[in-house]
Amino acid sequence: MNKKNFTNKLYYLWLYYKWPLLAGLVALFVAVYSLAAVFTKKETVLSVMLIDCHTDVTPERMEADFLLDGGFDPGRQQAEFVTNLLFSDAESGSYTMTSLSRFLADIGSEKLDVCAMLEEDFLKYDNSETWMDLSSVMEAELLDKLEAFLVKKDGRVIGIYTDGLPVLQGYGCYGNPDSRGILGVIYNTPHREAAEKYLRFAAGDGLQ
Amino acid sequence: MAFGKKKDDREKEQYLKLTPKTILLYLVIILFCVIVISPLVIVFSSSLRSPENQTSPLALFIEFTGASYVRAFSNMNYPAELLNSIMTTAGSVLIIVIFSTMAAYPIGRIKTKLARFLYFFFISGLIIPSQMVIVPIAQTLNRLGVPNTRFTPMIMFITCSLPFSVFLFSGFMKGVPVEIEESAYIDGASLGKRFWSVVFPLLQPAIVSCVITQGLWIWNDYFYPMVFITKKAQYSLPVGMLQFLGDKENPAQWNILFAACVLCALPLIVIFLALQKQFVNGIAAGAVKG
Amino acid sequence: MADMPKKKRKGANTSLVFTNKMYIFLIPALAMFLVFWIYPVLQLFYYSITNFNGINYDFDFVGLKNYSKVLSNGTLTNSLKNTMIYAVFTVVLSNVIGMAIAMILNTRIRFKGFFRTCAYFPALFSAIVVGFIWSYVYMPGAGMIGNLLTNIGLDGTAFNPLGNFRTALYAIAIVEVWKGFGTTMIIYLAGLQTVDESLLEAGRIDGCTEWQLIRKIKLPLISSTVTINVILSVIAGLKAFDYSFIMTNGGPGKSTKTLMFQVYETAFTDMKMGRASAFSVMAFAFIILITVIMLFYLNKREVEL
Repeated sequence: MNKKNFTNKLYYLWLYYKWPLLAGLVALFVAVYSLAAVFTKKETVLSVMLIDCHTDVTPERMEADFLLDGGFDPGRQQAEFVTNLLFSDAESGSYTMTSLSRFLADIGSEKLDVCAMLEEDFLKYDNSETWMDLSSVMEAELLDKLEAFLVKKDGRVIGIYTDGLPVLQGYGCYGNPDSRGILGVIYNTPHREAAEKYLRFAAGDGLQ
Repeated sequence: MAFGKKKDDREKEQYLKLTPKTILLYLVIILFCVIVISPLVIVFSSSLRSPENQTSPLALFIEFTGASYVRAFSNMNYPAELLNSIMTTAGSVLIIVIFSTMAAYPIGRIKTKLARFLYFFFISGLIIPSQMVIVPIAQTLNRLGVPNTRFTPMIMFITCSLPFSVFLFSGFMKGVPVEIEESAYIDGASLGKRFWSVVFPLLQPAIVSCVITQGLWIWNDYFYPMVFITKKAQYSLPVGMLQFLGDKENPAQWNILFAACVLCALPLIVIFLALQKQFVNGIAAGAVKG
Repeated sequence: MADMPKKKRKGANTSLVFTNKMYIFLIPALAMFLVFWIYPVLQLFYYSITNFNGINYDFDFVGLKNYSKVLSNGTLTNSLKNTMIYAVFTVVLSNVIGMAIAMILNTRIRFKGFFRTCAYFPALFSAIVVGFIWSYVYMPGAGMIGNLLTNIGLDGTAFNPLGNFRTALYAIAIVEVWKGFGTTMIIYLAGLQTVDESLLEAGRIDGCTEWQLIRKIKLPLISSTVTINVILSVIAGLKAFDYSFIMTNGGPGKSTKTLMFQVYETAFTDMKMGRASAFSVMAFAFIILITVIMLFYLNKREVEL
């Protein structure tokens, strides 16, 4: 008798409530997936955006190279590299706008550490106080080594020309000699030490 | 998942006879369709060229090769992205329909000032375009600790779709006669039963419209996925397609992009064609006959 | 005394069938809407009284300076004008064409499924691709239309809708209609299906012509659908900016700068997020005003019919 009531109840539920049940299942799946993602989340040690860089190297490879060099554990840590954003003269203004939105959103959520873009844009963004003074991030010897490629403004070191960063050159980033790229650190970066490690790595002075 | 009940004794639809007036009707609609489709011919013809072919897209159908499709398919990792798109779109649409029909129920039925206010409150959400509020939204999601998974854009898809859907359903709801619900109430049906077994099925034409319109923009949307997703494996189809864009130095490979575009629209076309029968049945069965 | 009904506040819900318990149904939708949409929008309002530049969160209050600047530098009037023209054009065309095709497809002709798919085809493609194709359609001389004109003897090279500041706005509005009428058509089709066949039969028996049937029977019965579609197209038209970006980038001159395009330009190109927020607040107010006016007008007509 009890079994009959139970199966009847189930059948009744399915008959009348199948859509909310289905939606509930979907919501449950997404929730569980997200929870799992939260718990298995690798700690993000660095977030880098290379805008307008036109490289064929995959972000995964860049991440692997940096993690190895910086002595991080790829099993529990990760570095985000975004290379598909376009700001300048994109054949679609819509895509530019989306890239810009992504850029601003990441800065707004204090997620972005290092960023490189074309010279014209870089200088424009300095008017909005985007870049951190690198002399407070890099050690003196590194500053001296890159002296020829530093971008200075009002006494602050705001960026480094990518021509002076062998690792980026090796990836083929910013290969066009007519429009140089500049790399800088975002003013509100949450990972200063990691950013500094990246600058050293990119300059070819990696730890390894 | 047939929307309409199959009526065995439904009479076969009788088509109009071929009078001059009817022929004119056919001509009009055919001409119209031709005009509408013609710009898209460029897409198809260009997608059938090899990726290196740089002649103007206007020279139609000068080449027939699947090379661009192959490149697009492999570069985009089509099966993975297709799966992502399907899961995201289907999941979002399902939740949208459930949440907005539920929300439209009190708004469409209760006649107080509060209900009217809520109606306008939801509609006002339509006015704001997503791009302006994306930075506060990203900050909110970050503060809530929502991880950047492939399902994160779903939250925004659902939220952005609510104003339209609530608007649509509450409008339709007003056209559903209250007598049915009142008699169900008299028969002792609970609120939940009244909604899910009585009202919900009657909303079918609106649900179909909602699914089609919302499903479409969610499928084609690249804005939210681009802002929230980083890993290539989690890309949805439109994002993958746009990776072939470029700028002055590395010009976009339009032939491959068009091929990718066709691949991206293909599932939609297939679904739309396949569900035509359901579509007709669903709408007709949902029609409230007096 | 025992049979006197409980006194309730005037305007309160006294229905037995539709109790206030129904409000529970609102909770999931309302929660998401408030957290992920309304709260960010309120932040936007907050930015509008600051001099936030989009990047650095070290900004100050500037009171209503942003608003006065926007009102005084003429960008508002230009984009308002463009947007109104664009909106009216797209709303009228999109609804008329959508309704006409829906009516044709509602008759008992064959291959309806095929025609319906054809009509909906443009909506299935991404806006970026659509914009690109149409710039080839509009290209002077060799473009699709230019070519056609040359073939019938007219001068194809003089035809340059996107390059002419008088016609550019209409040109991109046509693209918007081309892509969007499928949606209005679907909604009209759904509405038309609810029209009872027997009413139309009765009308035909009484000797009405097709046109009279449309005016006196069909239109009134789908008036709620018309309201929905018109309101939606109005809002979409007033918010339009996609094709301004993709096809003309605001040009030639400033003839295709719609309200939202101007907002984005101020925010992302001029890096004045605070002012852009103020601009969008005013744009929203304007759109809400128009929408509410239209809603009241259309609802009144619905009731009358």
